[in-house]
Amino acid sequence: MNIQSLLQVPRMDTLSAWLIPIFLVTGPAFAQDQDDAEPATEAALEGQSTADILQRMRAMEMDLHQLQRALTDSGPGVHQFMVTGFANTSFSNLKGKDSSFTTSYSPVILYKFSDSFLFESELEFSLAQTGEVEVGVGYANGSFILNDNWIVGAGKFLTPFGIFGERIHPVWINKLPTAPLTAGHGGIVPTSSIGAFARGGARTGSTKWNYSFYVSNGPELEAGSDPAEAAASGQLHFNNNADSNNAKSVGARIGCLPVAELEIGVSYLTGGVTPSGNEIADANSTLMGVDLSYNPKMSPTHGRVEVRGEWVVSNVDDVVYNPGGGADLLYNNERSGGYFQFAYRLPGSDLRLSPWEGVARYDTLSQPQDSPQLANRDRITFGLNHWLTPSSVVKAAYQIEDRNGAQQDQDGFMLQFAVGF
Amino acid sequence: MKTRNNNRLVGVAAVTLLSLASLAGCESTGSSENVDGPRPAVVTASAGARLWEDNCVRCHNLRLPNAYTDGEWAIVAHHMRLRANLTGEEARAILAFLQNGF
Repeated sequence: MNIQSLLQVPRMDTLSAWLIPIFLVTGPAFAQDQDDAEPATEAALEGQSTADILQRMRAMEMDLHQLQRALTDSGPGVHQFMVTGFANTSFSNLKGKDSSFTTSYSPVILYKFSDSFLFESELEFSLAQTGEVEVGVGYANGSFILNDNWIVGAGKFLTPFGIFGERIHPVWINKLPTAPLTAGHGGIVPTSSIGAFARGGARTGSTKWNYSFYVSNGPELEAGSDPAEAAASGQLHFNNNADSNNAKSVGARIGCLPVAELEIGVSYLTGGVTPSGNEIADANSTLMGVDLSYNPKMSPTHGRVEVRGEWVVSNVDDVVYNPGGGADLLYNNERSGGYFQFAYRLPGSDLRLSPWEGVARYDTLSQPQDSPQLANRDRITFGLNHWLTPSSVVKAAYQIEDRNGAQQDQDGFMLQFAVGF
Repeated sequence: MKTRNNNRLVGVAAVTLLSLASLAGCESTGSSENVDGPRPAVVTASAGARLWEDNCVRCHNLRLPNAYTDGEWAIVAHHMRLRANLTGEEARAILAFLQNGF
């Protein structure tokens, strides 16, 4: 008897209604036939050979596996829902700042309908110093698989610019408690965008290519004429929930993997950034970046090495600013920065990796001369991680920072427990 | 001047790196092999384990196949195909490996 057939509910129609009385008459005879088919009793097994018994056991194992699959799996076209995500609790003790514990939680909600459609979302919950709960939407988009090489979608998506924002930002994947200076708050690359995208992968010979193309509301240039916003004058803001100037931005990232261990990517994003009706002149921004990740194949007896790096240049057309409504300010609005990171997981025993991992990262961010922003920053961070499971880790790190100008260098120690689930 | 020079530097670096990468890929098609042997032009079910290791480990530690149920792996694989820009063949091979266990 087939397990799958047991789980299917027969449709009741007119023909079935006529068959019911027939079944009532023939039922006992039918049951008798079933009773005659191989009951698992001592008497039945006694006359069978070892080979027959093994075959019977294999058939039972297959039936059991099918039953398990049917109970836990679902076929195409059925709603599939999953909650995953990550969370962390951190402690930092940096010069010039009060030492503090912080915590955040980011559920990732996935909804899959058929083999082609996926809705993905990431929420961000964190606790502000004021005691309020801050809630953000990291991404929320729907995508549709066109074929083996193309996926299209729309919504709020992680911007395919470089690799940190799109792939490495979850706290259990990032090997240090902090993001690179070019990413996140005060950074010069977008984390997420609202728009539409087309992306995928393909092979040419032994080379693997991946590609992402998108159109979005794009960044917005902060004029800073309001005194409260003067310090941000000339910066690009990337958290635009609506287009502020009827000028969309377009971007792309193309990655090349000549061998499985090495990926090299280039990224590009351009568009108009001056908000409509603003007193500053219309300006375009252009961001260009390169990224590299290298994971050499190594035996666990030698540990595991990971090398990663990115560099980005952000340029905004020259326009005159009036920070805080003051004097005209004109400068070359170009910013650049990047990071280089090396991580080594120690070898363990029994062909497994050790739970211990060392990390070192150098990152830098250059701001335009004469701009109201912070001076240039250089930082080196050393970390020691202990992996409790493949997706949970305790990180200890020390950073040494150099901020040109009057700003306090925020050297100090950080500790973080991060988990992905 | 500094702006143009920096943009040119990034552009030249990008073109150079991609050109070197694609040339390296072409060279590896012919005679050279990595320690695991030549990469098959057509992804087969037996390549699922290698694809799982090659693609997933680029970003994070490998979760064991028994970390999720078969149904959950189908959702996760779809999500990761989008994130990592896997081809359909790669995603199916990896999913088959994860759902069938070791």
